[in-house]
Amino acid sequence: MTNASTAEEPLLRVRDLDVGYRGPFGPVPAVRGVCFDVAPGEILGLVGESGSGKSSVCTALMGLLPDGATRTGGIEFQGEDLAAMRERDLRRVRGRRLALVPQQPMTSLAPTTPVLRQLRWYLGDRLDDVEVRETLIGIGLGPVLDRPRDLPGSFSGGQLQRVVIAIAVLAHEPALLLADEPTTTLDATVQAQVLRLLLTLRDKLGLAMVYVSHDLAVVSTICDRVGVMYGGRLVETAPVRELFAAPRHPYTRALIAAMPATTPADRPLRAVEGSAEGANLLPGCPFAPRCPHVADVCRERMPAAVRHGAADVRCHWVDREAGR
Amino acid sequence: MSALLSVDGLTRRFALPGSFGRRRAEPRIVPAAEDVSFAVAAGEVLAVVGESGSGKTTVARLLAGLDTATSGTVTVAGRVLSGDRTPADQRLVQLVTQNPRAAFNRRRTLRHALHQPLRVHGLGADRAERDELVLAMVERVGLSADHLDRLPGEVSGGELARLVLARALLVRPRVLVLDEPTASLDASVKATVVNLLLRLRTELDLAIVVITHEIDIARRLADRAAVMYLGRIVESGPAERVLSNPRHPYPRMLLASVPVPDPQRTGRASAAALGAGIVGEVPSVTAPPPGCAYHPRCPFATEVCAGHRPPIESLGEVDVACHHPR
Repeated sequence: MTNASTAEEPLLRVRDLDVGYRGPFGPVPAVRGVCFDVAPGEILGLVGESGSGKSSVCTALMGLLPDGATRTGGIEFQGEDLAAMRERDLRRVRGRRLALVPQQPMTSLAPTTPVLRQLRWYLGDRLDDVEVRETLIGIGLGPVLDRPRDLPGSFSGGQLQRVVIAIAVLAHEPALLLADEPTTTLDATVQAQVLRLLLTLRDKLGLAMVYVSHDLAVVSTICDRVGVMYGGRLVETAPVRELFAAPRHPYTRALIAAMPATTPADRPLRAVEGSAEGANLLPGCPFAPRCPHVADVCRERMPAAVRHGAADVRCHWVDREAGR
Repeated sequence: MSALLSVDGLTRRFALPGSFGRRRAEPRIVPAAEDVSFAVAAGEVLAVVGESGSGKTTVARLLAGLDTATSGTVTVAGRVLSGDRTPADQRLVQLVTQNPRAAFNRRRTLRHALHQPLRVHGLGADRAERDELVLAMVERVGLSADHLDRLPGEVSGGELARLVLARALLVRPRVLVLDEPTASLDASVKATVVNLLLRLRTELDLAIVVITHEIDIARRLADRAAVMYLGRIVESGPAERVLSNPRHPYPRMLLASVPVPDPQRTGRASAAALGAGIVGEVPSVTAPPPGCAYHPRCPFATEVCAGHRPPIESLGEVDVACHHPR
């Protein structure tokens, strides 16, 4: 066990997760050998660029991959192996103990049914509960309660995203919430409010989260621990503070160096040449073609995860530098 | 230094079509941009910052001549440009749109795409000369000749972003309008484009208007900044002032809601650390609140804010439209 973050028994334990999609020239790997744990009440961020596999991890955990996709590896959640579970049994877990907040709230709600009636589908009579109503008003959903006949189209994206979060979290009070870029389509001032809502719900209900985002700044404000993905691989997992104070993997270092917020104004941003395209097909380390520290071994073989400080890193160079 | 680009009282109102089966006595009017004025000198970058519905893209389209203003003027190098522009006027202002993937014909090579503006505007005497111009520009944005024989689908997003820029610069514009130049790019590629823009600014002596919702990118690029809210500029001035310590309450809240990594944080993320004063959202542009459009969300609003729209006033370095500036 290399990457258990706490002594506590993890809520979710993902081992050697592989996800592949059907492509025109054979299967295309999207997630390769991903391992991580999530402790109860912990928020783990998964950050990466487009095509890094972060959303596929979410979809695979929910068991909602499209037809033709393949998945191998272990997904142990509350002591049960979701990967081995039949669809019928999975339905008892999905939405109840394990919930998803998707990126586009608009496509998750029925467009021709009033929003309040949809809330009632999931919350039932609890919607008349004073405490539940107060919670809804507290998270800015007063307008939804006040306008019982209004369809999703007459609410803003921020309001709908909060409705979707309310459904995911309040309907069954799940132990784990998977949030797939929940604020990417929202304006900055609304994003801040949704992030605050997620943290408030965590404090109140103790739910754990896997928070997927391409935005390192967002991840750093909401997460306790961050996993950095590149080309389908999880290359580094570390507590937020450690990730910023001592980034280890060359890709993590590059990401942080390229952030405007961490670079003094008079210095140019450090750009990474090349692109991530095709990185998911490489036999060795996916970052090798862009890495300043690349050696022959990097192109041939993906290194195992090794604990350095509080971080789990998959990098030959980091291992070499540390004398391991 | 006189302004290369000056925009004066630019206003664009759209009429909303009435709904079916209901006849309206008066069509509803959407004020997408109201009385927008600013000036940009050669070699200067102005960032126009705002959330959705603030009218920033409408301003970009008006600058580029893709839309006709209801009133107000756009003046470039002393020429007043109308909405219906001659080809020579069109060359003066070039727009780079948000998504580079959508800006190219997927079935034609990038060479074809980059030759196109030269042919349209009759620049370059013959094919050989146009080829030279294209090659020089492609190298200027940090790419090479072998990119030209590829299709748009065969180059990466960051390279495509640079090629859109190259195409806009080929007709030698005086004003460059960039609509969300880095929004669709991955983090590691964003930096390349930002650094390139900073280099081009000094090399080409252009007036650049960057429309963006990314505050940290605006801080990097801009000399001056204007913050828009529901169609109006609420504060403008030197970028370092407006984007770090603004006087209008709206940009203050906007800045507070930008997530900033805190490397010193120990322990769990907490809701308390996220800006507490951030409330409400941008109201619909179809029905902007009366008086100061920001007053329903503003912690400092008084009666006067609901009744009277504050005029833009000069306060030291910045111009602010607020009854109670901070």
